[in-house]
Amino acid sequence: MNVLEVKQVSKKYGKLDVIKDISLEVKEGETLVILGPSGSGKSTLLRCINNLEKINSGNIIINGEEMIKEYKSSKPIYNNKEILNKINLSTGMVFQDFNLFPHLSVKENITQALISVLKKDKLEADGIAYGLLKKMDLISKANSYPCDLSGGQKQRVSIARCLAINPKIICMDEPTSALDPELVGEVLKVIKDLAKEKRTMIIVTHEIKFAEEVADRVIFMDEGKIIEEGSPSQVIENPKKERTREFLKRYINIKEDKMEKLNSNEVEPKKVIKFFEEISEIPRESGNEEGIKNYLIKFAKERNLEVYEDKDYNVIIKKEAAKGKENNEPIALQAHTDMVCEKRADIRHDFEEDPIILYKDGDYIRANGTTLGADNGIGVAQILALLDSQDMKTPKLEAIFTVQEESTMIGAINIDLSKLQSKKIISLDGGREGKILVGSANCLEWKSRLEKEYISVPEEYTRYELKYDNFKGGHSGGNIGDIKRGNPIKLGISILKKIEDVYIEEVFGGSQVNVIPRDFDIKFYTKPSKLLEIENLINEQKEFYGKVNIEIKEIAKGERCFSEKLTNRIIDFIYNYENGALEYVNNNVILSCNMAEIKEDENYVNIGYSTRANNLSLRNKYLERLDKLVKKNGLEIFWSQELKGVEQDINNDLILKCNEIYKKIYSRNLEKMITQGVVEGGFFLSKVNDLQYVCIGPNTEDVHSPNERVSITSLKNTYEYLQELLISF
Amino acid sequence: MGIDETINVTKILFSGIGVSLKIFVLTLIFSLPLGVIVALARNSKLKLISTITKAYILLIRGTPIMLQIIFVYFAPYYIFNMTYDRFTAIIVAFVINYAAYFSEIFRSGINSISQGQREAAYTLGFDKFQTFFLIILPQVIKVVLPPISNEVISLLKTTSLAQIIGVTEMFALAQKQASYNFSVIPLCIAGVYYLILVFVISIVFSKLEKKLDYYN
Repeated sequence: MNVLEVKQVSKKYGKLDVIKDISLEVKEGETLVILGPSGSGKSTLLRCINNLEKINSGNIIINGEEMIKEYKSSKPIYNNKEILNKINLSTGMVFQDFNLFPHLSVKENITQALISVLKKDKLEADGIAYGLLKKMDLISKANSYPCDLSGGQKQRVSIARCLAINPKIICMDEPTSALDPELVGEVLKVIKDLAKEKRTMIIVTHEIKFAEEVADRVIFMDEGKIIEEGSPSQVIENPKKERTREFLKRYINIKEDKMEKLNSNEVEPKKVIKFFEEISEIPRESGNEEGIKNYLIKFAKERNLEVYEDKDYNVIIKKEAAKGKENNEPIALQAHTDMVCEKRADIRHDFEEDPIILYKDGDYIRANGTTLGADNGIGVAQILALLDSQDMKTPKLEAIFTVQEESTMIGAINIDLSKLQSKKIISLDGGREGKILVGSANCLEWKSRLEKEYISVPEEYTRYELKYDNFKGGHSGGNIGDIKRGNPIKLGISILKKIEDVYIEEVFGGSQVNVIPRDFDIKFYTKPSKLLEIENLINEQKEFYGKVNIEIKEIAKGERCFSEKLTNRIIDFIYNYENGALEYVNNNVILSCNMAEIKEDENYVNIGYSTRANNLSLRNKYLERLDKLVKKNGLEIFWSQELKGVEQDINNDLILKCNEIYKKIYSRNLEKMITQGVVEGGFFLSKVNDLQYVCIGPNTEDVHSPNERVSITSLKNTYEYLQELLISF
Repeated sequence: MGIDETINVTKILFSGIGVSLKIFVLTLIFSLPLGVIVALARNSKLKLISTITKAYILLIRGTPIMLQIIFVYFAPYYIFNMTYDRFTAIIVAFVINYAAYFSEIFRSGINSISQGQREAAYTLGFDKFQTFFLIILPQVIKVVLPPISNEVISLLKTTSLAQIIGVTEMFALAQKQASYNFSVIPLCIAGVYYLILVFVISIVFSKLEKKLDYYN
């Protein structure tokens, strides 16, 4: 039965149409949620239903009683007082700002209407009030006054007050909008309970998740009209109208159309995907690995596996060999537990709290607008699947789970491998099927500085600002070979070098020492006659690098600039610094350098740069050249560090075995890769003598970005290959 | 003036306090409720009523109270050749005057109560009468207590104007004694009496305010 019928109701404020010809019905026991942007008319609609606003046309029928008796010359004539009173008592209203009566106690707020309106005696009224307060968990506050309550308690009292007169329909107008976030939950819980009791309710709210949970039906309103109507799953999860989508996007993450939730029971390799799902539930941003560590410890204990942890939350789990393989040499598997946390600007996600939900998008697993954590969660999941399996004929397995690979490398640096029996580590932190990582760069990073010296600006010089931005940047390991990325610091300085006769005033560029700079901003003085030459040089650079911003502009003259000596040192050092890929073997870069950053502090100009090398003899020659350049320009090195590389015989047992098994399955060789990046293996090799290390993994795309995804087919292939490989030892 | 005369004057003036207080109390009894009614009339949606009320308030606040007292007493005589009791006249004049001032205080108090209070009351089924007396007025009283206490104190002192139509209250006696004894001491004694009375009124109001302090 319909408790409420709204028939073609319109409402104007002056000339403004607030509600335009709205019709809707509410059945007994139904919870209807109205969503919509502010100003869409949803609150006004509730107020019209409660007769707090007069309507201009249409009619509202509540519990069979019509609000409007008739129309006289198109003006609505409201029904008589008696009927309106009936209607009034059939509807209850919970206001956004509570509107409790401040001079009455909590109990009196509830009983006043019972006594004065419904003419109940005081004892009966008190009984009803206590019953409701008990339901709201507020018995202890019966004699308090509203001013002594928290917002959440106030709203619960106001709900109790509304329930006291036992209305047929309860209207709630943004019941949690005026509450502090931590108090919203208690009010929503009460409302959810009412929905369970099958109370008829109309709720205007912005709590979309709550709406989804509580609503039987959802209406989306905009500009005084109903735009979309349906079940919560229709309107909230799969909105059809663009306006609804636009609105919901501000509150929840609407998934792309083609994506569906990943079902680990349907997608192979099931076990790996099941574990990946489980660890995706655990927030594990780099540096926040305690949760995943606890998960791993629990995993091992449940399976009676030997397990170690250290203070950094590195974990080592050991699984005994299968029958008959007790005497074979143990094999170590390795993955890192942390992940990079990046999200699209329009996505709401708290990487410290929210689980990452996995979606299937064609052949890919991806998250909705956040990094997926396949780097390296998919490695962790494969290892867990292997440790979990009962029937695989593998030798003893030693699983190494490290932390903070994406940030400080502290896990790999500090982990104690003395308990490791294996001399072979297979890392699952690779990123391409058919390829195997066998070597990585040794990386040296420096920060050096030049003391600032100022002079006053010479006459006839004009001040300019040269700005570079929108360069691609990227990682100084993986991306350094791509010359189209360009280095804006080098480019800017090269212009100053060419035009000569300049005084630098201010300089800023780059972000971190292991990142290729994306921007550069330099203010300098030169003669105005040089401007044309500068513009020509800029145009040449623009032509080569494409979609980047480079601009020069004249700015108001200041008072001081760097001395000629300091200017020349900066220009000479950066101009002569050998940047980018310096040496190759086949197509692999084996020696590269990155001019990473230049920043000022109060007393110094600081310059950060790094070099990566897979061949130490080539590097040492380079280091001699660099040393000369540093000394010539009087730079003081005040910080440096070395990150170890993987250097090993690229035809050792482990690599040969990997290739042999791959060839057996695919009839072709694995492609051996040497990376300019730093991998954890470098640190492992420096700890254990004669250690052999390789790194493999399924195809993952756009890692470290919200578009990160892993290929399901490739994961299946890689996991099968990994199983074959382990059985062969 | 010697001690004996001073004591004598003190007694005489004390006997006048009764009249002053009578005027004071009767005025309050009639003007406070009338003030509420005038405030409601001023807020009325009916244009006619609110306009008349506005005019009344303008008239009373725009003319001296002394003029009003004299007018109230002598107008019936000049117009209808009708005389009546002086004391009644002073009460009528004071009530008309103070109701206007009180009404403006009540009106600001009523308007300070949020519309939400009325809406909440409406949705709970209270009629207009219940809404006003159970919900609005109790809250208004708390708001208006401080400005009302000001007006009440001023009323006490204004009772001294009753003498202009020949109602003998305390201050009239004090003036008489002053000229009879050729001394300001009677005036000083009157001053002390006023001071004591105002002090008592202040205490009463601060007690009332405290009593309503249970919520904010």
